Amino acid sequence: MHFPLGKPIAAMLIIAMVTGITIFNRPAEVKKDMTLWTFAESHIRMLTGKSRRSPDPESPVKRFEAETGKTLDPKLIGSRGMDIRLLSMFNNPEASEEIPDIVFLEISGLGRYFRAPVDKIGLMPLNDRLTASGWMDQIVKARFAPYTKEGLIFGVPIDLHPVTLTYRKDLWDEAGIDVQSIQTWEEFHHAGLRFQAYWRSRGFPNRRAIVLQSAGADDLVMLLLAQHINLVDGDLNVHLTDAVVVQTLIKYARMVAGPEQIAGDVTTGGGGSYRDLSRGDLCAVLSPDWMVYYLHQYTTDLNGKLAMRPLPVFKPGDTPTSTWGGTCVAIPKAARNKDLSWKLLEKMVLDAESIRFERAFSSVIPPIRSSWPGMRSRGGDPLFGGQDVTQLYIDLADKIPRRISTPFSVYATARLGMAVHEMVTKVRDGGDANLERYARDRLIEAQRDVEALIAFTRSQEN
Amino acid sequence: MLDRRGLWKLQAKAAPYLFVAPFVVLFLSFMVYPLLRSIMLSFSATPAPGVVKFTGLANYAYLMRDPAFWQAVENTAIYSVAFLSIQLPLALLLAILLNSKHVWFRNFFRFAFFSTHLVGTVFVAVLFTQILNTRSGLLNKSIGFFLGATPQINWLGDPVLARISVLLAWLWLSIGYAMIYLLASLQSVDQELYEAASVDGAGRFGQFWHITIPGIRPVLLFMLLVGVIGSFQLFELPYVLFPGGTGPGGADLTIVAYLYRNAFSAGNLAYASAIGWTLVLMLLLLSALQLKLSMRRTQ
Repeated sequence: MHFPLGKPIAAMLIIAMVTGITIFNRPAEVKKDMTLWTFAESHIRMLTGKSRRSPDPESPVKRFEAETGKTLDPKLIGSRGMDIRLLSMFNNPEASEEIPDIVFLEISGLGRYFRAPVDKIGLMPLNDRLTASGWMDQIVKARFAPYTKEGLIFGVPIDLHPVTLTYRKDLWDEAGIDVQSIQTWEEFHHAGLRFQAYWRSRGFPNRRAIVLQSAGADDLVMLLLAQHINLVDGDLNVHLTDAVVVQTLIKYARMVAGPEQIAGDVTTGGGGSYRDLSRGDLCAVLSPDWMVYYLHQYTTDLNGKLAMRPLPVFKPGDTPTSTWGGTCVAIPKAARNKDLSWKLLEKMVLDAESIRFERAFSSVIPPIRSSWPGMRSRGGDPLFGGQDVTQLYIDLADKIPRRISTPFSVYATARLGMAVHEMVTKVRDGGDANLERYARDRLIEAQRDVEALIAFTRSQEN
Repeated sequence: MLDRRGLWKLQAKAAPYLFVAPFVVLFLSFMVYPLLRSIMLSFSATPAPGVVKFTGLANYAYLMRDPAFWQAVENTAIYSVAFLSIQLPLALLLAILLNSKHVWFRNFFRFAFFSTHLVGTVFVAVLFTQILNTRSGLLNKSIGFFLGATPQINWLGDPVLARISVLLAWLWLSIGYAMIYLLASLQSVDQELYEAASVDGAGRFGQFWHITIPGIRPVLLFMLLVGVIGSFQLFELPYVLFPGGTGPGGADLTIVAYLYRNAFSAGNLAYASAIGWTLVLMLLLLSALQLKLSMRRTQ
């Protein structure tokens, strides 16, 4: 058969027609009564069990459906896509075709929603409902801080993410160092140097004591939080030039670079710190509770070789833990039925049975105190040689520092990251003289930039 | 009332407009209108959802003294200059090689070099995070093969090496694409010119300089123009290579990355619009300068 435009065009036309017919004949997706948006696959796993399409009958999703007679669609949306969709929705709720009934929000991105004056924030304040239902007294108070603006709580925390130190007990023990007895970061630094010297003499010149990033500030921010420092506080005061920040930056730079280096960057690509731990390249890691689940997935070869302890401190009065990441659940102001949304929120993340179900798919400690006694593991964790790591996280749960989210926190962290890089370069190049002055100057510059951004933003609001 | 002849005339007049109407409507709705809105937005503030306040030149004034923006401009300029000064000569060299009749399997090599362009930026970025892995990456292992021990070079953790890594991935992605254009252009140069030059005693370099380069000059200029525009829009590659904007020493911060960060991480759409229009202005100026210089040279 001859086609006047040639065979390639004919082939393309046939493919287009077949595809078009297939798409046209595809059965339309049944629209569910309610929608939940989340950015993490782990949340979907926790809420549905093993499969999103056919949730486990005991899962929070199925139990909610059975109790209310409403169908629920838990949607997984990439965090960046969710940012864009939520911002568009808040800007123009009338034009939004689909408004989720509840939404899971990641802690570091909250600032963008909190730019607006409190009465214009696109999320519903939840103080009254939290108080009336009694949850306000059961949830760890410090964890409301990131989701609060001017006293109004816009999200219910679903985690605390206390941070501990997980280390390769077998390797530290062989080097003759008892990590559990270390009190301060100063002591850990010295111990790390001894640890590396031991392994260097046995043919492992690249073995490092701990994972700490040399070019960003996320780890440093965690160590500052443990000293009760938020880079930008709730009143938008910037704390980059506080003496504690200057001193911690210097100590941090000496740990990650120069002649006294004990830290290495995590390996890029899949596996990251799990692979480093497994290979014995980096032998300790700052470990929030969520990490335990992944350690069980990726470091099975380390059974019995890991151990965990609270974080060392810089000085008396610091908390022996920090917090890394976090999620809250919020209700958009434009949600169709706010009472039902609240009921959904309670069922998904606060209900005791839901928490028990979710425990099978996560190692995260919930922020609800009454749920903790049921979480203790019997016989400890074999990966950690029988140590009860859940109990350790629970012991630290009430000690997590207050973390505050502002629209400027991300920028302040990025600016601190640049100061870290400059300090690391200086220490690496052997410039130990006037280190304190150099650090302070870098932080003064960073503080000036963050304050300028805050002033500019405020001038636009008025 | 229009008679049959009048109707025929009317449809003959209206038909072209009706044919282009769908495109024009879509273009006006989804291109021109958003562009005009973003110009207006760049002179405004968006302090709350749905609230737009006219602030005149405030966004642009702050942009001029915003150190992060200038770092983004510096980064982008460095990437742009480094990229173009390597990409074009290398692509030309490859095109000349693969234009030669003495090279076996020319078509296979042409496809092989071009195929990198087909896989997409995100794929390349993911691939390079594996290749550049500090402890088990192919690059460090290859270097280790010659040194006897695998060095632990932190390609994505050091600011200078991170920029080199971005450049490597970008070149790997785009050299084949430029090569195809130049190859097509080389094939259109009149072969008789080479024969005449040869008769006149011109050497290989003389022929290249006086025949090949002038012959492919329009394509070279086009590639340069497209390259400048493309390099000023660099975004996906560093965005995926350094997840979450964690490039060492701000190595990932390009103008478009900064625009994205302001629009969708900070939620400041007005300031992001000002960054966007400043970028447009920069590109217009650069393109005009480039065209002017090339025209002067032609004259």
